[in-house]
Amino acid sequence: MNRLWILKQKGFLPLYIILLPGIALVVLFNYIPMLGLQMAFRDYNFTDGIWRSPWIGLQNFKEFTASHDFWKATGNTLLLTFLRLLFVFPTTIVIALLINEIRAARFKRVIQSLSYLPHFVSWIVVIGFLDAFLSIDGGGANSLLHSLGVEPIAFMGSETWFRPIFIVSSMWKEVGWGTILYLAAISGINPVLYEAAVMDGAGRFAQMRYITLPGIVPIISIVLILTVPGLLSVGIDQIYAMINPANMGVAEVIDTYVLRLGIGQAQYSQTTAIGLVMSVISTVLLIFSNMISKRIGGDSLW
Amino acid sequence: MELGRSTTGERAFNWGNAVLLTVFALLCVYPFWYILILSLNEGRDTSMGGIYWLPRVFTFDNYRVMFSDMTILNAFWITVQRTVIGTAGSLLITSFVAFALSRRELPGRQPLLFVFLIVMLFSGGLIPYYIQLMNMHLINNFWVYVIPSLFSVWNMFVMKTSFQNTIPESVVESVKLDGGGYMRIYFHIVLPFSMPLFAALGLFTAVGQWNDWFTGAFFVNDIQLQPLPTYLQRMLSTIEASQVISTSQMTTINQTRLYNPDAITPKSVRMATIMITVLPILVVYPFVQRFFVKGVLIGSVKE
Repeated sequence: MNRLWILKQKGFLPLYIILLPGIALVVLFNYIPMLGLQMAFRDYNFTDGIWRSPWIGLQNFKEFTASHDFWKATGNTLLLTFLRLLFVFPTTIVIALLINEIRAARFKRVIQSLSYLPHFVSWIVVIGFLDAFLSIDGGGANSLLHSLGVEPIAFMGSETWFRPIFIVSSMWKEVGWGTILYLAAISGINPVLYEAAVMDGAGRFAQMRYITLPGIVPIISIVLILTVPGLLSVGIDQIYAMINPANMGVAEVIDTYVLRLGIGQAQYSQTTAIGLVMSVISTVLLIFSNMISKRIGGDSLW
Repeated sequence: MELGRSTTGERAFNWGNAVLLTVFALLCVYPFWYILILSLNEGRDTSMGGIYWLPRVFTFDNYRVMFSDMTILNAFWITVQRTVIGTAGSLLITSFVAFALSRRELPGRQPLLFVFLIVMLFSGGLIPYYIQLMNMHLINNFWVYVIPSLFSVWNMFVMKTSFQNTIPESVVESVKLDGGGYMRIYFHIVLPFSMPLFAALGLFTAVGQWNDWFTGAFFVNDIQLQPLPTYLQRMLSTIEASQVISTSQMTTINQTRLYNPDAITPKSVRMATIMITVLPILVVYPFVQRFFVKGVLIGSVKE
């Protein structure tokens, strides 16, 4: 008769109750902010709020697409994420292949443990490292240059050095950790293949080239495809700590631009419009790349 | 794999490889060492440069200055609190949802799953989120560190998959036959079965909480409520560090001279602050690293 009674009878009620906090949290911090996206089409002001501020159509979109700073930030974002992919991704694979070639188990474990460590410190700490090593007042890099008779360089406040520093710090933090997935895939390769290769007289390089590498191609493609949706976001942590007035021209990315304009200058409507466009693009990319990766996974070697 | 014979070329490769990877691993840890020696070196001496391997003028003064600053100690305490409460709460609430959704017989499971899937795909972005925090009076409030992160949709899907794959249905059935309800199944079967999973995800959550400076920097203005990483972030602009020095000079001016204030520089105090920010992670890391590795592999299974 009563539906609630039936659910209770079957013992489902506790399950619904323990679902409640999670549902409440996604409603409060995910769904309500999604409703807030309508600000992108309104001229938001604090007193009228999200629901009563006047509609202005596509005005906000026109404004940001006409802004030179926005396109500059977009260009910087794409360049930085592309550079990061270009350097971090292949290096990770090479290091994973090399770690796999270590025969002494204990040595291998030590190398792995040490190389995972950088992943666990925050970007702020990484910037602290950089600041310490690259500073003009006694930083290691400049003392080295000094002993070579080179003038000190203000690395952290330089447009020229920003990209190299960005790439090196990205590599330092993520290459070691990134090897985990590949090493796991390698350990799943059938040992019989190696035995057969040795019988055929294949050396270590030949084994690496013709067995290990093809064995991890599926996971390589999946990782590559899944980085595509992230190409529009550099990660606010990394950039925000490195950006300063001196390197702004190359370091300003969409994330920092939104932050500066939105929270800094209270341009709520316009930054919400930017956020909406970015969110739509990355959602589309995410669904797309997920589909492709599933297809690859489907006819993968395992 | 090898048949016992190794050619000269192969031996050369092994050695080259070992050297290369040793250099790589040392590069991964050298920055930690570098900060440590600078934090133990007299500030004025550090600024003359040339320190790479060991402190030149050894001192604990940088740490003394840092520990005499109440704001840093307070920030440390805030960080500890948010990490403990945030991690415990997140594991509980997230695993509750994961458990409920892992039961295939739950009426309405598909639409509920969809509700959480949307969250994974689409977000309202920074500004609407910020306005929602304002409306909920979470700006300038300690709970902004905890409440929004009590539920993680990613961890939920990892847990749900894991529960479905690892909890034997026969055991669940036998609890039901004994008249046990779902809560009994959760506490007596799911929890004990999934301890490695909880350890792994709990550690990732804890590291995330410990390292998060963003929330403190943008959603909290009150310095007394800011966590250590946010403090460090502000300190990386020199002004802040010199303030630490001057306040600590004022507090010690009438005490016995503990250190030579002229030898302290903003940079040397920063080094000490970086050290206490990473120290807890460095101390815990060797003991928990296997869980991290396990965690990332569990997570990648779902892809």
